[in-house]
Amino acid sequence: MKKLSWRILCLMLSLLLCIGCFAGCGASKGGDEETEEIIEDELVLGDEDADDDDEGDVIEKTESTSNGGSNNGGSGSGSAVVGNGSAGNVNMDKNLAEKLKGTTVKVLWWKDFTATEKELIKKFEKETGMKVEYKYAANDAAPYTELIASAMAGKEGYDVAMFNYTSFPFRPLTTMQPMEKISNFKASDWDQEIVNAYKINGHTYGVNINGSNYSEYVVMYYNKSMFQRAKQKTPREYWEANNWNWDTFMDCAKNMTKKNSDGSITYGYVNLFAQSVSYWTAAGGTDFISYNPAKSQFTANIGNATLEKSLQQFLTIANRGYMDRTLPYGVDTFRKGDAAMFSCISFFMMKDVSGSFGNMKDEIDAVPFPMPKGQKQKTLMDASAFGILQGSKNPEGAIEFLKYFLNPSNYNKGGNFLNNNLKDTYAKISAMPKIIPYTAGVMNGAALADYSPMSQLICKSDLSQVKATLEKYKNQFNMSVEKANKKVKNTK
Amino acid sequence: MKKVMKSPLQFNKQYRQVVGSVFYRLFRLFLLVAVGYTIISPLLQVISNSLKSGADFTDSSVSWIPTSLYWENFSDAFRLMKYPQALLRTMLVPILSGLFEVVSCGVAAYSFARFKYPERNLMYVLLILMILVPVRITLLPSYVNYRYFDFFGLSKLLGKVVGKDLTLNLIDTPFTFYLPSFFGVGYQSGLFVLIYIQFLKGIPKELEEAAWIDGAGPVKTFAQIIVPSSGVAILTVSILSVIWHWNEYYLSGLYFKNPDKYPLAVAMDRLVATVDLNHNIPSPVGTMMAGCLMFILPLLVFYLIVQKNFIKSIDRVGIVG
Amino acid sequence: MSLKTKKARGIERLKIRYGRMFILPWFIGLLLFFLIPLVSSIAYAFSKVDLSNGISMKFIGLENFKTLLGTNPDYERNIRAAVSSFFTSLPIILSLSLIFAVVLNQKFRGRLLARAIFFLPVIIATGVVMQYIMGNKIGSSGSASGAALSTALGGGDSAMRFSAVLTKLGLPDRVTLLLNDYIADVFNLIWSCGIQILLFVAGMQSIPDQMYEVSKIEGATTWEEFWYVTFPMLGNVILLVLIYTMVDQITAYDNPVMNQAYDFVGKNIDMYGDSAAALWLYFVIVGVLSGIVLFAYQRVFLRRWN
Repeated sequence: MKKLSWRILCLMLSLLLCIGCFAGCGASKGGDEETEEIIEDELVLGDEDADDDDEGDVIEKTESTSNGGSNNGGSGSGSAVVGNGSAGNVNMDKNLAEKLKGTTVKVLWWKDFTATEKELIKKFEKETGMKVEYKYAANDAAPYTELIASAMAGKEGYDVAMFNYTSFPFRPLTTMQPMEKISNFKASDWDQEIVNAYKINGHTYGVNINGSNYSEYVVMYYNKSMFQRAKQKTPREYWEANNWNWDTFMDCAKNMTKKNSDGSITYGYVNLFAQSVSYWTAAGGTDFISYNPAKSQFTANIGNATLEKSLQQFLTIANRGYMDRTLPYGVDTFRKGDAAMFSCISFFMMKDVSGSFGNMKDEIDAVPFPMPKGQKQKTLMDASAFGILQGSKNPEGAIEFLKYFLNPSNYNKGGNFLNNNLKDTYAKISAMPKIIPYTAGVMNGAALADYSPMSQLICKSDLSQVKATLEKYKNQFNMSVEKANKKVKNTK
Repeated sequence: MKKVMKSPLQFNKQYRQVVGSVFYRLFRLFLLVAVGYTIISPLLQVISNSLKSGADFTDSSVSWIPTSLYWENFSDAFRLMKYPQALLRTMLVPILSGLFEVVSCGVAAYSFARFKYPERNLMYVLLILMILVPVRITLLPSYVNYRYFDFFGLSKLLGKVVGKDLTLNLIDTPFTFYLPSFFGVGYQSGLFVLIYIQFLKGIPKELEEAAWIDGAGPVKTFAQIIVPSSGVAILTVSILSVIWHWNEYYLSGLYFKNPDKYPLAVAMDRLVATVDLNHNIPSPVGTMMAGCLMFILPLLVFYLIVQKNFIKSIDRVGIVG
Repeated sequence: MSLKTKKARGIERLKIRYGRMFILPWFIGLLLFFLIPLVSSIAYAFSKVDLSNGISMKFIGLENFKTLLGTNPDYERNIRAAVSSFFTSLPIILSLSLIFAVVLNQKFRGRLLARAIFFLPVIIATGVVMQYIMGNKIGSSGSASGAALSTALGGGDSAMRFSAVLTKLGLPDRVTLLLNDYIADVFNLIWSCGIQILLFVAGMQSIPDQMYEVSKIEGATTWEEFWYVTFPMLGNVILLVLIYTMVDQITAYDNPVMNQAYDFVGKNIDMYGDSAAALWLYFVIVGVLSGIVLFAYQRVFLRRWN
C-alpha cells in the first residue's frame, strides 16, 4: 500500500514536470517564434493588400493627398490641423536622445492601434532607438480601467494612459502623476485649452495636441439633400450668416419633421445616444456639474436657471415630436435618411471609419453644435487627454512618444474626410474655444448613482417631471461633487 | 411499487393511455416548435446578417433575405480575428487546460464521494465557496498572485537569502491556465468537482467494496472500477469543460498581455473594436456576425460528434414514444 | 470474526489516508491559487485600497459598508431586485429544464435535430457570442459598429423581433406591450436552461435500464414511471442542477449587484474596497438564502425518497 501511494506521488510529480517542460517551452521559446511568425504574416498581408485587393484604396490615397495639398493652400485656416501627410520628425535634445536610446516606453491603450499608427510607432522606434510596448483593452470603459488597475497593482511600470471627460478627475488623480516634474515637459508643446481644462491643483495631468487623431468634437451633422429636397435653408447657410443657434436649429428641426404617406415619421433630429442630454446642458453654458480649474473646484448646479433653460430646450425638441426619444441609438436612422440632423462626435466625418456614413458621401455636411442665441460660438469637445502613470519608469521617453504620436502632421488627416465641407468644418471648429462637459466624469467616478439611467429618465419626461427627477437625484449630485472635491484636496 | 398501481383513479387504463398519448404528443410538438423557434430565431438572424452587404443594412426593404450572398464578410472576419493563429492558441491553452480539469477534478471528486475523513466537511465548505465566488471578485488579487508567483512564500524567503527576486512572473504565459487546472482549481473547476461527486454518488458501491476486500489499491480501484462506470459523468464534464474554456475570454483577455497571444474568444470579444479600427470594412455588422458563426462552428462540430455517444443509450424500452 | 473486524478497521484507516491522498493536490492548488486571492478580497472589504505603488491596504473597519448602505440608494434596490429574481426564476428554470429534458430523452422522429437545437444555448449562452446576438456589444461611446450592430438587431432588445411580429398581427398596443415583456422574460429563461437540460439528460442516461424494465413489467404508466422511477433516481442530479442554477443566477454577468460592484472599479480604481464590500455583503445574503434552499431540499425531498 505504501508503495502504491509513493507511486502515485511520483507519477503526479513527473506529470507536473512534463507539463511544466512542455508549457515552459511553449511559453518562452514558442512565444518568440509565434510573434515572429505573426509579424511575418502581417507583412505578407500588407503586401497582398497593396498588391491586389486594395488597389482602389491606393489610388484613393494618392488622390486624397493631392487633394489635401491643394486644399491646404486654399483654405489656410485649417492647414495646421488637417495637414497633408508630411511626417514630422522627432526633435529631441541630443543629450536626452542619447539617454533615452534603448529604453522602453510602455503604453496602455483602450483599443488596438490602427495600421497607420502601428507604422508610426515603428518609425518612432527606428528614429529614436526606443522600444514601444503596448497592451490594450476592449474599450475605454470598465475593461480599460481594469487593465490600468491590474498593471498598477502588479507594479509593472507602465508609462502612458488615457483619460477623458467621462473619467476625469478620478482616473488622473488615482493613477497619474503631475507632468511638470518631468524634465522634458514643456507646456508650449501641447494644446493649452486641454491642459488647462484638466488641471488639478495647478498641476498638469493630461495633454493632447489640437487636431491630433484623438481630438474629437461634438458636431451637428445634417443630410444636405434632404434639406434641398424640402427647399429649406440648411444649417450651413445659417452658420455662414452668423445666425446658427438654438432658435434656428429649432426651425430646422421643425421644418424637416414630417409624417410620411405610409405612416412613418421622418424626424428632424436624432442623437447618437438618446441620453446625451449633456450635450445640450453643456452647450447652454451650465452643465449639471461644472469645474473651475483655477480653483480646482467642482460645483453642482441643480436648480440653476441656465441649466433649466437648457433642459427646456432639449425637452421642447422631444415634446414637439422633432426627435424620437425612445430611440436608443440614432446612427442608423440618420444613415438611412429617416432623420435630417444628427448630433455626434466628429469621428464620423472620416472616410475610413467602418460603418460610418460612407454611403452618403456628399449628401452629408456638418456644422458646430448650436449654442443659445447671442452667445459666441464655441465647440463641445469629446476631449481625450494622455497622462503619465504613477510608477512610470520612463516618463521622459513617454513624453517624447506622446509628442511624436499625437502630432497631427504625422497623419494624413486632410485626405481622410468624407468630403471637403466636413474638412472645412473640422478645421474651423478646432480653432474655436472649447467646452468640456464634466458631469459624466464626476458622476461615474463617484459611483453613487448610475448616471445613464438618470439621463434616460430625463430624456423621457417633461420639464416638471425632470425637476422632480433632479430633486430626487440632487443629493447624489451634491455628494458626488463633494467626493470629487475631497479627492482633489487630499491629493494636494 | 405494487401499492401504487392500485390507485383508485385507475378506471380504464388502456383508454386513458391512448388519449393521454395523443394529447401528450400534441403537447410535445407544441413545446418543441415553440421553444425551438425561440432558440433558433436569433441564430437565423445572425446567419442572415452575416451574408448581408453594407448596402443591405441601410436598405429598409431587406429584412431576412439578403439581396445577394456577400461572402466577403467571412473572409474579413477571418482576417481580422487572425483566425488560424487564434484557433491554434485556443487549442493549446484553454482547451488543453480544460482537459486537465476533466482528470484532476475527477480525482478530487473521488475523494469527496467515496472516502470519509475528518477534514472532509471543511473541504466541502471550501468547494462551495469556490463554486459561489465569481472570478470577478478575486480578479485583482489573482492577477498579483500570478504576477509575483510564490510557492507558499518559499520563493520570497529564499530570495531574501540569495538576495534576488525569485518570484515568478506567470502573466503572459499559459501557466496562468495550466497550473490551476492541473491542480483542479482552474476555471469552473468547482462545478466540475461537484458534477463528478453527484454522479459518483449514483454508482453502486458494491463492486468497489469487493475490490477493496480483494486487496486492490485505491489507484487500481479508481482506474478499473470508477472510471469505466462513470462514462456519462466524464462525457458531461468534458463537454462542459471544452465549451466553457472555449468561451472564456474574460481572464485570458487580462492574463495575456500580448495581443498576439489572444485565444479565439478574446479575438471575438475584441472584434467589434477591431472592425471599428480596421477601416473600410464594407459591412461591419455582417463581419461581426460572420465572426460569431466562425467562432461557434468548431464547437458545434465538436458537440455533434460527442452527442452521438451521448444519446447511445436512448433507445431504451419503457418510455413513451 | 475479530480478524474480519480488524481487517475492516484497517480498511477504514486506510480509507482515511487514501481520501486525504486523493484530495491533496486539489488542496494544494486551492491554497496556491484560490485562498490567497480570496482572503485578500475579504481584506479589501474592510480597507481602503490604494494601487499607486502595488497594492497597499489601510484597515478602516466597517467604513466601506457604511458608505455603501448610507449613501448609495441603488445598492439596496439592486439587492432586492437580485433576490426577488433569484426566487422567481429558480423554480421556473428548474421545472422547465426538467420538462425539456424528459421530452428530449424520449424516442420520436427528429429528436436528433431537436437535441441539437435545444443544446445550442449550452454552446452559446455562456460566451461572448451571446453579447453580440443580444446587441449588447456597444463598446466605447463612439463605437460606430457597435451602435450599428445594436440597431441592426433591434435596439439591443431581444423582444423587439417578436414585437415586430405582434404588431403585424394587429393586436392592440397595450396587449403587444404586455406580451412583449412577457416574451422577453420567456426568452431569457429558455436561453438560461441549456446546461440544466444537459445535466438532466445526463442524469437520466445514467439510470440503469433495469429499473424501467421492472416498472414496465409491473405495468406502470408513463406518468407513474416518471414519478416513481425517474424523479427519485434524479435526486443527486436535481441537487446539482439546483446548485448550478443558483450559482448561475447569483453570479450572472447581468446580475444587478454584480454589475454595480463591477462598475465601481470599472469607473474608479480607488473603489476596490467598496466593490469588495458590496460583493461580500451580497454573498452573505444570497449565501444564507441558498443555504436555506439547499437545506429545505435535502430535508423535504431527499429524505422522503430515501
